[in-house]
Amino acid sequence: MATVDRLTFTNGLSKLKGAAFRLVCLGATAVGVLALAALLLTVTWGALGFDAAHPVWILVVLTATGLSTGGVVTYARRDETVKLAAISSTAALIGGAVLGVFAVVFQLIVTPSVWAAYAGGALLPALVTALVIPNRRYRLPATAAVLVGGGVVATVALDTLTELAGAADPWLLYLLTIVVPLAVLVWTRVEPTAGRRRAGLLAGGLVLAGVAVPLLTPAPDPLTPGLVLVFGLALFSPLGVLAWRRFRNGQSNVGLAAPLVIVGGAVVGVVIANATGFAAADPWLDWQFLTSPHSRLPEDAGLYPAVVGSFFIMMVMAAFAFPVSVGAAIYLEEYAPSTGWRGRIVQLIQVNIANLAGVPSVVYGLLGLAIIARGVSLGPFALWPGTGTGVVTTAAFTLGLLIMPITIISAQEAIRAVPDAHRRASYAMGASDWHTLRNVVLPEALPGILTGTILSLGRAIGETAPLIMIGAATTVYSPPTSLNDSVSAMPMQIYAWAGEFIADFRTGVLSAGVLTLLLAMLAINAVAILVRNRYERNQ
Amino acid sequence: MSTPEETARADQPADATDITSRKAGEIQLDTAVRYVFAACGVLTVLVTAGIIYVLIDGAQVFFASDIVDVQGFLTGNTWKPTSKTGDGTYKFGILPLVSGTLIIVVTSAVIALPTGLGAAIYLSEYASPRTRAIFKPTLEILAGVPTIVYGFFALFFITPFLDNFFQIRTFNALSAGIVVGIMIIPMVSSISEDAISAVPNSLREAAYGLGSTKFETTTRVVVPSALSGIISSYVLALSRAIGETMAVTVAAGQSAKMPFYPNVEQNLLQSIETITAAMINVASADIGGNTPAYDSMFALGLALFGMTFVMNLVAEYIAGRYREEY
Amino acid sequence: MWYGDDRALHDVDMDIPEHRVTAIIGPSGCGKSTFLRCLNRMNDMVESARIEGAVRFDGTDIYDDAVDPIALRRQIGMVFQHPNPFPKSIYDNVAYGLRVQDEPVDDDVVETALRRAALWEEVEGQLDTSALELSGGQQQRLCIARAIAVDPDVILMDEPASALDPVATAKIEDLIEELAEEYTVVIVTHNMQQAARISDITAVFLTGGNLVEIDRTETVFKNPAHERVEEYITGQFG
Ligand SMILES: Nc1ncnc2c1ncn2[C@@H]1O[C@H](COP(=O)(O)OP(=O)(O)O)[C@@H](O)[C@H]1O
Ligand SMILES: [Mg+2]
Repeated sequence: MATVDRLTFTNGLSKLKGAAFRLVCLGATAVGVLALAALLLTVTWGALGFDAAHPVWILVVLTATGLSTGGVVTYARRDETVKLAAISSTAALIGGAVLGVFAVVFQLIVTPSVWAAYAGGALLPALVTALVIPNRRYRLPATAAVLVGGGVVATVALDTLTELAGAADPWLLYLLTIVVPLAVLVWTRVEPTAGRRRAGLLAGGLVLAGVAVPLLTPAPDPLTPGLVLVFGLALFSPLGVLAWRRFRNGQSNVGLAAPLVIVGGAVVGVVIANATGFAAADPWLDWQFLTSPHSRLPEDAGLYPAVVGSFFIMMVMAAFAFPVSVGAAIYLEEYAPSTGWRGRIVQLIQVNIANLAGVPSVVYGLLGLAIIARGVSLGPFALWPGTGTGVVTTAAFTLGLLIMPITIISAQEAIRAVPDAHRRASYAMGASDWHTLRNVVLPEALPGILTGTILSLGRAIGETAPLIMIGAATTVYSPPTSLNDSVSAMPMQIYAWAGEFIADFRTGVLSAGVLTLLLAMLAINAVAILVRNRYERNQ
Repeated sequence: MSTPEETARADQPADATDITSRKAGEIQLDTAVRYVFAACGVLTVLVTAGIIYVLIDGAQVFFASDIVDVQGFLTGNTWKPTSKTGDGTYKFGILPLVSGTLIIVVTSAVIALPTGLGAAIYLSEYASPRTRAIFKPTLEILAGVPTIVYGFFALFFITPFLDNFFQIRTFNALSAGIVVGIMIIPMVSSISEDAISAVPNSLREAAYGLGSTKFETTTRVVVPSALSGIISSYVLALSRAIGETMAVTVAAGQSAKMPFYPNVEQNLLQSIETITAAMINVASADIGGNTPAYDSMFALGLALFGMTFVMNLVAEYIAGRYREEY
Repeated sequence: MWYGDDRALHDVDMDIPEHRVTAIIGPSGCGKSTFLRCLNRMNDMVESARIEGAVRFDGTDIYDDAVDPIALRRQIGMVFQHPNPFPKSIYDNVAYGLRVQDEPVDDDVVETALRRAALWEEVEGQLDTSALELSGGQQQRLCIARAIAVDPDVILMDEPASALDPVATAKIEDLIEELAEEYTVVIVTHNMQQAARISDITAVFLTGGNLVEIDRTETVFKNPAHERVEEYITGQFG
């Protein structure tokens, strides 16, 4: 059978070629994974000070962590709901941690008494208004009016109010302005479905925790009991919402314990390993590192002012760049004409945005330096006063412009994904552009827009070159507290350590800094991926 | 075309069947909202205008001084902006920086272009949904790692490793080029993958129908059909490599050199300086405004912007062609 | 009526009587949907679209400069070929039009609209669930409820049953007949039996965007004036 022979022969050879090609391609894909693994491993190793530890110590810790992780994974594998709960609770904790850092930095900057003045004067009255007014039609305008009115009153009477608030311990202020309203909110949400007893237990428990946490937990400097409370609330509230949702849908909450079990395993491992008497790891990334400024001695050096600086910059940047980016995306997708000479101009804007996304970040730094920091004037008129080199505002605006193109592009994609049928349905009902946008397009595009904006936060937090160009300090010794303070950021401080003379700076301290930066970036990305996955599952 | 009925209608109060007007303020609100969003769109144009203005203005101040003219800048082979050379002058010749940038670009291209394409092919043609679900996010994370971290990775991990095999300097072009390559792999792979996935299935089926193997179909039909998208990804990635700053500043050093010849291997083993690193160098040298060194940053920025701008436009143009094809 | 340089409709002249079902039939691509969209100015949204002539609604030319297309659409509801409820709750879908017009939303209005759309029995008690969880036929009836909740004068329907199974189609057809008691209904369909069953007036468009015949439905089907219409109706038409 000559033909069959021929067939099998060709098959054999080409199969080999095909398999080899496939393997090469797989290898190419794996290069990225391997590089990432090597990077994370070296950084973690250095940051946790594993080189100081005896191999046995490391082995014990890794075994315990591996066992608990493996146990969780095998248990969760068997049951889809448990698996989902395990994943979402881990993500919720990560998201809570990110939220917590933002909340703490926010409180550090505004100070508890100013926060209390505005919360008591505007936020809480507005919340009460929103809850009390039953009619949908008046609720929004009334709430907005109370918010603005209260805001004005609080601003006018700020000195008196802050003085008043300053008399109380900060944690008491947080208890009154955050914990108690939260407890009320929980009560109103939980009571209708779960009954008075359960709702009372939850709300009461919340208040009790709000009192107990600040009183009982030690709050190492520079954190105060109040800040610990704020962080704790932010950390656990996503998990709380998750647990409540699952409870309401009648799902089991067993899987939620997964992150706890894994961390618990690691802790038990460390305890056992220490008991063996072998040399333990001497981590560089520890509490002291996160809460101290730079020092001449590697053991005393820390990243605290830079962490606060980074998150401060992110907040100001987000407040300015996100609305503008989303606005531009909305214009391009929903309003912009596509034909005629106007359409041509819109096309140019679109190409321009794609190009801006490819402009090197160091060039944005020049823009920030020459225009944002130093100002522009047209003859005698100052068009922009200039915010000064190396301060928070300048950094925030520069990075804001830098992330704008990528944020716009991702927001455009999210808006484009909203089916046209929904827009048409809305227009056919006689809805205006704005109504359609606000009630149909934006709600549907929101998860996608959020994903994109959060991802761009992750990009901005690691940017270094533009900050160097605008003259940001590599090292500052106290965290910025106002928009005009000079600021350093995590990557800037790390960059400075790389040039230190003492070797420990370039190994241990640097690794600790890099790991902190990477964890922040990974946590932010994880939040974005979580938002996206939820959205895709709902589709 | 106004009819009597219509005139009569206009006299009536706005009742339920009024088709000529809406509640007060509705239309104005719509218009106002439209203008606010349009203003956001216009801002992006202002950013570009601002960048171009800043660069040209700064560069023009730089060239207006009698230290260097455009020709001397473009053809000079010494870069010493902040310390005087032997003859007691500062030197502003861009060629050594261009050489440094090119070395990085070539090295990273050698790493990233084949690897990125291989990854794109694997992800779109071979990978199961499960493996994709692992590789895709990993590549995304790889793209999200701050570039300065890549610099440290090169300096403290790759260079010591390479030191086992070569006579290599602490700061060197090779390890910087390697990390820049790793850094741009995700860009190549994700854009190429999009292009490859956009190849219609009918083409693949036609190839299988003619008795092609998967290997032949992929290499002879699918990849050539996606070529413009792949090339576009290459151009974009290289443009990114040109503009890459912190990784090369940290790992490749800050000493501007003309290329070595004939000992070409030294180009990789010695420390170099790229255009971007030179800008960082001047910016962190604390020299204050309105000095030639300060102004030179803008001339460098202009050169950098020009190069990347052209490359981005080219990439956009090529990509536009492949979008038209399907 | 043009899309760019392509003419989609030629000299269409017809009266649409109040409180009747007017069916528009014709082969696909002949301009039925285009015509329907002319009636509530949905074609304004297509940048290349251009129209000449007048469409009079209660005596007013809706293409007159004084007419606000958005206000117009509040009087002329529309139901599309594919059910397109919003990804919101059933309640919010029905209440959408009221909110658009800034009118108070009350549960009675929502209930009445759902009842008239013959959907109330099936969704009572689950108004808060997502509209996307309904079946295709239910979704289409929800879209009808959404359109009638604001009490328009006219309802335009573009092949409202073509994406549905026979049972759902029958329900929609019953519903349309009932709706004609209160509303003026214009329905596009390519299903001739459907037109014959439910309409009072039938207009036949043939290829190229020409209105060839319009008359009482019985006359059009039993005894058409044009040979081409007869060919089309008896299925001899390409
Ligand atoms: N938005 C549009 N842009 C350009 N041409 C269109 C558009 N919509 C429809 N057409 C064209 O107008 C003609 C009539 O289409 P349509 O009204 O959808 O037909 P029918 O509904 O009868 O099937 C077709 O030739 C179609 O290609
Ligand atoms: Mg149609």
